[in-house]
Amino acid sequence: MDDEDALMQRAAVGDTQAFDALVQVYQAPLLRFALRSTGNPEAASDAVQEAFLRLWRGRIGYTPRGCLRAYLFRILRSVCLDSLRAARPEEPLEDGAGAASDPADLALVSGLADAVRLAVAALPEAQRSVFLLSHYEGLSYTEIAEVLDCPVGTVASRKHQATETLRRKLYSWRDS
Amino acid sequence: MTCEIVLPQLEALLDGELTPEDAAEAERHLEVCAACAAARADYVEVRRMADAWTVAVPDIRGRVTAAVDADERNALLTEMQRLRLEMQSLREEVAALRRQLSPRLEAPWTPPARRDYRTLEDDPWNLIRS
Repeated sequence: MDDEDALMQRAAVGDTQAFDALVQVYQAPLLRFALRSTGNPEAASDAVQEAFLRLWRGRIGYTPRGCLRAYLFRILRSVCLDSLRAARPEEPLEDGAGAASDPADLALVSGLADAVRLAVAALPEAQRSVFLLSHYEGLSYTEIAEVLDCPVGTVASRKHQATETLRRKLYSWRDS
Repeated sequence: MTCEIVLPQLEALLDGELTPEDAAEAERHLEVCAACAAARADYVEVRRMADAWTVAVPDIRGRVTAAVDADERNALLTEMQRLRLEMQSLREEVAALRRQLSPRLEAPWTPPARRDYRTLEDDPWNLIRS
């Protein structure tokens, strides 16, 4: 059992200090993921707060089946998807909608960071989540498979597709 | 290994997700295949470009703690409300039972009529005669 699982076991019996320590450990990676997923700082903070609340409410029945980090990202992704669906009910998330920017604006931006942000936002949701979790948060393919509830091979294939799409778009942006 | 196998595995290779055997085989292919080596260099470049997108995140510990406290308070209030309703319903049940029983409890006790005492201990001769 690792440190975080030990903290969670203590939180499960009502130890709020242990829960605060978990919030301290995980708030930054969760906020980064939520912010990059939603493109909205307020929505990201709300989503992370909701993810921690759900963890707290479910603490009594918590059993360490896998990795706590993956479990938290799984809750957070679900909250982010709900929030994106509520914000844009008419747009299917699979088509790269969701992040708050219009992917068509890629040609208009001048900075690399904005180009990356728009190119990532244009990825289909499943590929985007895999890329964000792997590249920015350093989750292993096994952990990502747990977050997305899919086979490890699917994670590898989505990561490859996402990188290939980003390569095409970013090279095209750079050369234009 | 061929290009068809190595190309889709480049990301996994860069992420350290291949088995040592597969990684070694892919590396051997990359040493002799310029196209795959160029693709790997492209993927490394994409990673470098992606690193340009950084985000600053706030400290939300305070609001998470406040939300958890409020949630706990709400849960306790809901439980109190449930118990209060349960107590109220119990009180009503007790009152109804008391109303049902009270006429009998409060009425003075009167012995049953003589004819109910038809046992051998009561007056057997009378029983025979009747």
